[in-house]
Amino acid sequence: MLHVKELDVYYGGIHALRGISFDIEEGKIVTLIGGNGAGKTTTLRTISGLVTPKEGTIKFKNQNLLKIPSEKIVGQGVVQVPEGRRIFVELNVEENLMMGAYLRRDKQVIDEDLEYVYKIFPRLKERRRQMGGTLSGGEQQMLAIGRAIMSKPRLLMLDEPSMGLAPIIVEEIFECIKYLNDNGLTVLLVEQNANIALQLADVGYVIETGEIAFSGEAKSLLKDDRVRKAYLGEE
Amino acid sequence: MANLSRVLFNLVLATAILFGLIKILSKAFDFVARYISSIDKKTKRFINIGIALMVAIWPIVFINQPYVLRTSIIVLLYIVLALSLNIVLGFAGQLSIGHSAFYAIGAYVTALLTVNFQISFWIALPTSALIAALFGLLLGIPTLRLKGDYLAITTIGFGEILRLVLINWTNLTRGPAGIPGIPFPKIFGFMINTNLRYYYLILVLVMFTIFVSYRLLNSRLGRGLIAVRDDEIAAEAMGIKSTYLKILAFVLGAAFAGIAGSFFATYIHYVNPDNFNYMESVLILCMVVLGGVGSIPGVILGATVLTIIPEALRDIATYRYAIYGILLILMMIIRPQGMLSMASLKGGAKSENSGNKKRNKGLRGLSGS
Ligand SMILES: Nc1ncnc2c1ncn2[C@@H]1O[C@H](COP(=O)(O)OP(=O)(O)OP(=O)(O)O)[C@@H](O)[C@H]1O
Ligand SMILES: [Mg+2]
Repeated sequence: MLHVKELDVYYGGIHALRGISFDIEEGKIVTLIGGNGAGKTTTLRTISGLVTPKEGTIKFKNQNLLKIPSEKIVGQGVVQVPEGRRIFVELNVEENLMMGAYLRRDKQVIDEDLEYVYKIFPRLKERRRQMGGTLSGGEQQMLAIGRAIMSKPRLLMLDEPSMGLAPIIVEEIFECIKYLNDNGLTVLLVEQNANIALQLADVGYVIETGEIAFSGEAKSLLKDDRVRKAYLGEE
Repeated sequence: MANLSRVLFNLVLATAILFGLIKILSKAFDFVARYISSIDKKTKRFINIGIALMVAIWPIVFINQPYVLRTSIIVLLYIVLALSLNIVLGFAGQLSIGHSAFYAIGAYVTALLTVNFQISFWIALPTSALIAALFGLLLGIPTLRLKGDYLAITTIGFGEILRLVLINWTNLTRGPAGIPGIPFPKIFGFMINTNLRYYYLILVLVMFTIFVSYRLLNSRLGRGLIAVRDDEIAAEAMGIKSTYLKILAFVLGAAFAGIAGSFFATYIHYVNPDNFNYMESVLILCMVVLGGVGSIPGVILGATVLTIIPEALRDIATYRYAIYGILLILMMIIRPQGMLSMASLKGGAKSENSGNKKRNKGLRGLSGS
């Protein structure tokens, strides 16, 4: 579904991505794991068209995403939940969700999707009139995911959804991701928390200082010594 | 030395008085806002109709007091100007400090067209808006693509350059002497040549500006702008074209400032570069900040108060600009959201207790955006 080839990204003089390649098959959950500053966020921003790479190609369903402006990429169904959730604090829960449907004009389907989001996250429905800024961290993450769903994604990209959340909330959120995937959504999951990400995902890529260090089936990566040492904190 | 200490004393006194005033007024307006948000729709409409009627018959009541009429017309003129800046500052969250440049462009375009080419005001007015918008576009495209406070710096520079061009391009603008003899507007042979008629002309322009502001605020575009102002990265992740929206708001703000300039030219019948200096921009900025950045009723209030008060206190005219400076600083410290902020009108005290400081950022939130 998504094919990323040899991406090279620079921020001024900083070489942030050094020839990154990976593939995402339709219906799968693919995870990109790596430490601080490895280039995970940069990869997502490049796919979304917010950063322009120096070299490389990004193909989504046989379309060259690099030729499409960022707002059209969202229209194509490639949607990301940005790092740190980034809720609109001045808008209430429902207004936040409707902002996700900003590019859409199919009023009726939008209402159905809103109900779908409320079905997945009943807690959001209870708080539909509450201001985004007053939600708890976990609720904000749910809202950020819900808002992305309102853009009718075909590929949902999540940037560290577990960041700063209690384990029990993380579990709840990952269950929702699983549910969305079971309903046909393809997911690219960026995580530092390798353990939980690899348990959920089908395929994993490990990114280190802007390069893919190694990759494989998520289940086998969980048993891989290099992963266990570097990312699961085991000896 | 004696003079210096007297000036310092006066400034300290002014600061103290303003401090007290802002505190008291804040309390009063909180009360008003709470009341307004508590009354039901029907009463609200009733009050709105009442205000509209009052504004409509106001000049008839004061028909024999030209001073009151003139002041009212100037108030309405500044409401258009302040609302035009509010589109840029309040809706798009972009700080433009050279706003009077677009006001000047509107005035000069109208002056040149009507005096040199005998073109009717009704063609000059939209042309002024269009040309001001064009300059807004030229200025906005390079600066608004960048994040940060570039627009503030660029607009200050643009305002100064424009003023120098107006002074030095004597062939076209007659330099500091200005352009006199701008004719009365005529509509189907009906001459707008009395204060009463000018009042209704500017009232129509005010209503048009308010209408467009509200439409903008409640449109898709307006919601996009709110999102961009709130969190640009999140907005872009939703597919909102932030640069495009910011440029659009800036161009629209420039166009309305041009309209105000055009009216100014026909009303005063004379334009010169001094009408449009940097302090004029600061005054417009003060109006928006005092009333409440982004709040349409607030900005109208700010424009009204800051036009009437200097008229009433002509004795302290020498301290006017110092007082604007102090006012801006104090407002940002004590009440950054303005007297009648949007949040307080929406939900009254509820928003205050939400435990979220970011909501009340007002102008403070603009730096480092
Ligand atoms: N806007 C920027 N300007 C300059 N350098 C940047 C910018 N954004 C990221 N970088 C650099 O690019 C590299 C990759 O950053 P990136 O944000 O992609 O890392 P990450 O894997 O998402 O890290 P984290 O897990 O901490 O979020 C880092 O060295 C970072 O300092
Ligand atoms: Mg990151």
